[in-house]
Amino acid sequence: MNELIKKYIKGDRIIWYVILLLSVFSCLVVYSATGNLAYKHQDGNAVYYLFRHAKFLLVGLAIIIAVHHINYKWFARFATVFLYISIALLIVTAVSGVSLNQASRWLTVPVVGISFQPSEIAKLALMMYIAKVLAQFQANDRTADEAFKPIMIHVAIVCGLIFKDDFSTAALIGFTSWLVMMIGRVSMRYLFGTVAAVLIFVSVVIWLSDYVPFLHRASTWKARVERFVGGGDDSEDGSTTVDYQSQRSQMAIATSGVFMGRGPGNSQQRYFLPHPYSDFVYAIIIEEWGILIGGFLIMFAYLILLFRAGVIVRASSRTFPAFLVVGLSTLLVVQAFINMGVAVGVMPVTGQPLPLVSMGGTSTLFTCLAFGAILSVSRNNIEEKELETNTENQ
Amino acid sequence: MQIKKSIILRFGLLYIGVAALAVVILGKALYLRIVDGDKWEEVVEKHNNKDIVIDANRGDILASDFRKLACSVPTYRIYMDMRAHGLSDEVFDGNIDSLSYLLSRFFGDRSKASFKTGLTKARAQGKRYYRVHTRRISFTELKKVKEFPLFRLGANKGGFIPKKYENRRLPFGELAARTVGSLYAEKDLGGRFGLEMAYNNSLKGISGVSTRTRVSGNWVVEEQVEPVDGHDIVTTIDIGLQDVAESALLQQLQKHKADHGCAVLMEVETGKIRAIANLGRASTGKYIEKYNYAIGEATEPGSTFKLASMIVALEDGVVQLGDSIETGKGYCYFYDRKMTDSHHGGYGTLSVREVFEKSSNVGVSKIIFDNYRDNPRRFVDRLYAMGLNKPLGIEIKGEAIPKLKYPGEKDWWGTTLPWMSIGYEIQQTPLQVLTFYNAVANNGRMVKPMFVESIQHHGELIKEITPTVINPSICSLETIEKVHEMMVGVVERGTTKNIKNNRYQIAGKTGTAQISNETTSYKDKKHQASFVGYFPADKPLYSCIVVVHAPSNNVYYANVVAGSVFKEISDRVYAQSYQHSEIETEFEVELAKHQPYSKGGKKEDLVTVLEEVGILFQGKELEADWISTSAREHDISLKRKNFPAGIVPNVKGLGAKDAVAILENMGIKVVLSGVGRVKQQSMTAGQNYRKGSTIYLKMG
Repeated sequence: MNELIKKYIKGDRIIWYVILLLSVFSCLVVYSATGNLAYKHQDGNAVYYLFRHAKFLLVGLAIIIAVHHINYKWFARFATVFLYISIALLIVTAVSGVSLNQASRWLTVPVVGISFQPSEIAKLALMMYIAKVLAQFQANDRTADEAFKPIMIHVAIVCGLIFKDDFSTAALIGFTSWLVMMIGRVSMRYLFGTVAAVLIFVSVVIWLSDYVPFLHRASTWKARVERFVGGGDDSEDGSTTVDYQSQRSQMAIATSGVFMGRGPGNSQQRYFLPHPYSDFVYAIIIEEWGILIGGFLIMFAYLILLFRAGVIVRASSRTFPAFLVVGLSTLLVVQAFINMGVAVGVMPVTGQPLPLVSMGGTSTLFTCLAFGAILSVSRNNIEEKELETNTENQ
Repeated sequence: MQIKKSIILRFGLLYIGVAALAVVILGKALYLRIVDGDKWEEVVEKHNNKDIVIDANRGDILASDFRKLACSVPTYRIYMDMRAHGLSDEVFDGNIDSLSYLLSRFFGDRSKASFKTGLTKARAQGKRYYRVHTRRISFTELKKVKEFPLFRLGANKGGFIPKKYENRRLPFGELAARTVGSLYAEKDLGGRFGLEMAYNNSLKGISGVSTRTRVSGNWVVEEQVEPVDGHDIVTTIDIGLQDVAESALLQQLQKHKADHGCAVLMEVETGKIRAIANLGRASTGKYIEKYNYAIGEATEPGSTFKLASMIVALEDGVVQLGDSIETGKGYCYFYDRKMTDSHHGGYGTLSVREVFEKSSNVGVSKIIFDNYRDNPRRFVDRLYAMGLNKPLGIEIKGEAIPKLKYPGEKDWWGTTLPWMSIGYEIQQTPLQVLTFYNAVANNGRMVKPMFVESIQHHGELIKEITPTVINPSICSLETIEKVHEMMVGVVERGTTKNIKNNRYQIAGKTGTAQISNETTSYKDKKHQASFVGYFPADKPLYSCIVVVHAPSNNVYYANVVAGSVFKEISDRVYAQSYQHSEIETEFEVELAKHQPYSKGGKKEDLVTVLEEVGILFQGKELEADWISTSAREHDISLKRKNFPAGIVPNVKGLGAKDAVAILENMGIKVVLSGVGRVKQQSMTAGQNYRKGSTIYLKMG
């Protein structure tokens, strides 16, 4: 058994532990949080969603194992093609996507019948592309400003295709790209110029949203942001309003415990929160497992992931794998912190799942793809080092 | 290496940024828990765990024979939730026609089409609480409606919501209604007056609690504390006697266009109130149980108080029954006030006994004034010692407090003593007067009026209530003898000869008081006619008071107005106890000496059995459904058994099956206990009954 693990499980051991921890928690919480859903859609078959989620996690595990055995050079080689494929898929989705929650985000693969969000692919593809471009323009004596133009064009295309129907994902992608460019030594002049341009653009869109029907979802963001800034007063109307969601989420946390919460399976708010198994999964974790045991442990897992990413970056001898790890880990961690921030109410309500923890179906698979890529770099570094020590020893 | 260092530095900055965000998020979570926790905790409790109070069934108020004077009857109104979770268009459309048809047939006042339009419209509007019909239906009807299409799918799938209303019913209508009492409309407040209020704590029971929690998206109701049904209160009231009292009183009130009146019948030994009727004229001219005059209205009793004065005088030995009293021409003066007798021209010289029998105001006041003028305290102290100044302390709220002046008080005048002696310038309620007379009937032992005999729980005795003695001896037996003799004389020779009869003797005293209040002075000729006494005089069983207030025409003589009501009640009581023993003996089942004993029953069956077994019997030719049997030396004789309609049959000696069949066919509910043949029946044979009343049969 140990042999088998050693043969197939390689790369940073601690990241593997993080994956394991998150997956286990994920199963516990998803089982508890989908009771309501199971009752509504599966005639009360409470384990239906647990099994479905576990299946996705197992497939995801297979993906991580498979992907981390791939040499990262392949990611660089196919990054551009990968990006253009995902852009094409985004266009197809925008035109014919299955409409869910008044936003066309989903695309169903013909024949197989699996739905997925092309933006998930685009996220990963864009990070690979950015890493590739940044790596191309690194030089010792100057900033990597030449990389800015090609990166910005592609970020703009991807975000432009997504933002109408899924503003928060567009913002997540844009913000992560910006962070990666910052780490990739693009000069501050460009970076802050971009911030200013985006702010102007967003305000114009929001201002126009009242007049242009094409931008229908912009009024939703506006309302959400306005309510968030306004302090979210206690108006109690309908269960779908954002006030209600964040109120319920905060209620879950407030009625938990500092150390232990209500205990696994005892959440009350799971019956009232929409999507307690994805968007508000962190609130349910805290409600059931307490702030320090549940809340801190999960958060700590992501902090470790980011820390280990830094370790991998330091161990990398080339820039592409370093930027790839930076991009992917930042993407996962930023997404995680947005989810957690929304749950406790320090950020406006968005629909970002908690990577690997939320029940997300196909999105779990893409998250695993990212982990696979990170571990691939780690595996390469370790093997390179082994090779070096071996040659030195010889 | 410069590139790598720079990258790692920048990554480190990002890391610090993320760590700061982590601190903010955890801080906010802790803040929510520690600062706002309690506030949210409350909100969550309110939202999630809904405590539902399960009302306990209120106990019944029963007459002494366990018939229900007040009971709770649930009624239901049908509502429908048009947006019930499982109520799909398919289900709704598929059942709406048959449902409308059945509803129309059930309620009978609206067409099928009208129901269908109403329901369909409500469905289109998505009403969550649509009232299907205004009428409230009974529990048995509800069972039927529950089986209708759509409704039989229940609340979740069919949207069926029956709303329960708890109704307090008085099966005997106005009978003793004021004493039985009523409830507040708000359920929690319980009894408003009468016994409902006095025994609210026993009657109301203990409500249970159930909680509603969400389990897998479903509200699950869990009974945490089971409700405990309220106890039943068994009153002392006899429905038959109450009925007589009420109707006799009503007749007199109507005849004299009186304002109001009351009649109370009390058992001498125990103080049990067997009947208490209170009738007042409503604005419509009808007489209704509108106020408990017997308990709540204290007035000047007038001549009935002369009994107390005479007891004091006799007890002190200041006069003897044979002493002569000069009443002259029927008037005399005390200081500047003129005292007159109602008999014009006066009685001349009377013995003390005659003074009482003829109710001479001049005579009584002279006796008292002449003997107590120097020391009025002696007189009043005796009255106080007999407890006449104190309320009875009965459990029904609203008892008026008697007023009895004391010498030295600021409204004690020189004329107070003589007028007090004939029942003026004092106030007493009818029940207080009755209790005093009852004490005399009970050889001086004053018992508290008793309204409730026992508290039961579903037929099981919880608490038996025993008579309370207020004063074990109000005066010497010698004095009791004397006043008893005088009271017998009132009916035999005195003011109330009209109620004299040769079957049993009545002892009592009339009282005709002139009434004054703020708006009417004595001169306006408003009167209160009363008669209070007990019977049979030789061995008093019951005491009774009748008070008729302010007869508006001139017939105000107590003997006519109140006396006749008294007589009707006493006649009935006497007749009932006489009849009772007669019935008992007539229907006593003889036990066979030689022939096997056989139960009475259906003729056909019995004949078959007897022939089969080979027992000789007579009466095969009788044309009857039901027969009774009596065993003789050599054979069994069959007799026709009749069960006249409208009267409780005698089922003693019948088997359980036959007894139940007969009684249930007549609309009487049967409660059996024991095995064998009927040994005792709770409703006396020959009495009237109402459909739906309950009979208890003891088998043995």
